[in-house]
Amino acid sequence: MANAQVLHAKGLCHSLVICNQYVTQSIMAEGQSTLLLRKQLADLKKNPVEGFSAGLIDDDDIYKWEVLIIGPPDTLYEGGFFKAHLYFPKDYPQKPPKMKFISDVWHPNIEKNGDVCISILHEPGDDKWGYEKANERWLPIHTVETILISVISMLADPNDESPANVDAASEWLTCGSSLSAPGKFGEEQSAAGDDA
Amino acid sequence: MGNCFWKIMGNCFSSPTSDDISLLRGSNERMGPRDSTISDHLGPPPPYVSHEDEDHAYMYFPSPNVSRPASQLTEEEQIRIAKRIGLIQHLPSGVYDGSKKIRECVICMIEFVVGDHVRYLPCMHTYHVDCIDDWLMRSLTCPSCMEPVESALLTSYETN
Ligand SMILES: [Zn+2]
Ligand SMILES: [Zn+2]
Repeated sequence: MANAQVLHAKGLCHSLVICNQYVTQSIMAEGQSTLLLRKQLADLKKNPVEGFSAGLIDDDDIYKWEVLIIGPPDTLYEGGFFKAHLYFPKDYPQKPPKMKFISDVWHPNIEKNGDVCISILHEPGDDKWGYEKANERWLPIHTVETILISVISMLADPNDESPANVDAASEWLTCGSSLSAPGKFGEEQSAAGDDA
Repeated sequence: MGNCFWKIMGNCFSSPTSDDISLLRGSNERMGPRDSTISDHLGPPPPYVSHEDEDHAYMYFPSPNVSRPASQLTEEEQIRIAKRIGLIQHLPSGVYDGSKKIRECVICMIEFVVGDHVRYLPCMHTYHVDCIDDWLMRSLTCPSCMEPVESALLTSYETN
């Protein structure tokens, strides 16, 4: 392992077949992601950001976060609180976390099971569909804060190009912003997840 | 919801199945008046045309959450990865000298310490070598300004 690292540092690993760069990096990545996530947690505790609160699901696991999003004003979600979980990979920030709403949220870009389908949480290599520009994809400078800011703006302004919930998408389009009953789009108003 | 005017251009690929795809394609066809605009978008993605070769170079991460060990890559894949590594290594790098202009690596959010190995991208954004090299293997763009680095890389690589 150490040898591979030395070779790599010296730029001698051009024959990648034998280069263990990625083995060593994945071990280093765990330390880096832990540090980075701890730093963000501390920052958010010290300087909370308007619109959401964030913490860990389990204090022993820095990779699993629980957030509570306040339904943005002037949207169908106003007045609601929405609980979601973020699952970070060990190689964050090179790879994006997955996000899942625990509260019911009816939205074009949120699967019916709660999975959030937003382009910034897609890896750059994922070109299967090809409809996302590179700058809309995951970047290693995204933090819990920037992810949640994007998700909050997605709540107000769905991305019409890749609906994860097609029913919600067509409903949004036909009834859209003229819909007067906010309850329709978020079922666990105010009491999101507090039942436990 | 019979009158769905939503532009269905593809489902989230986090959970697509072949059924989803045919279903979506099918509903596109039924959308009538919008057919032309939709089919325009269903072709190969225009913004990526010039990067087509680069996209294939991501084979090291054949699909999300799957990375194949080097020994299982095809020869072609190995060559592409080796080329990418070669390109990245031709980007200028150096040792952080305590400059006041750059303080923090925005990837790991850790302040630079004198002696850190740093890499300078053509846009002049600076990161730890370890932080940015891993990223450039996935995407040849600057994470801060999204400036593509490949063209600059190619020129310097060829002149070297
Ligand atoms: Zn760094
Ligand atoms: Zn830049």
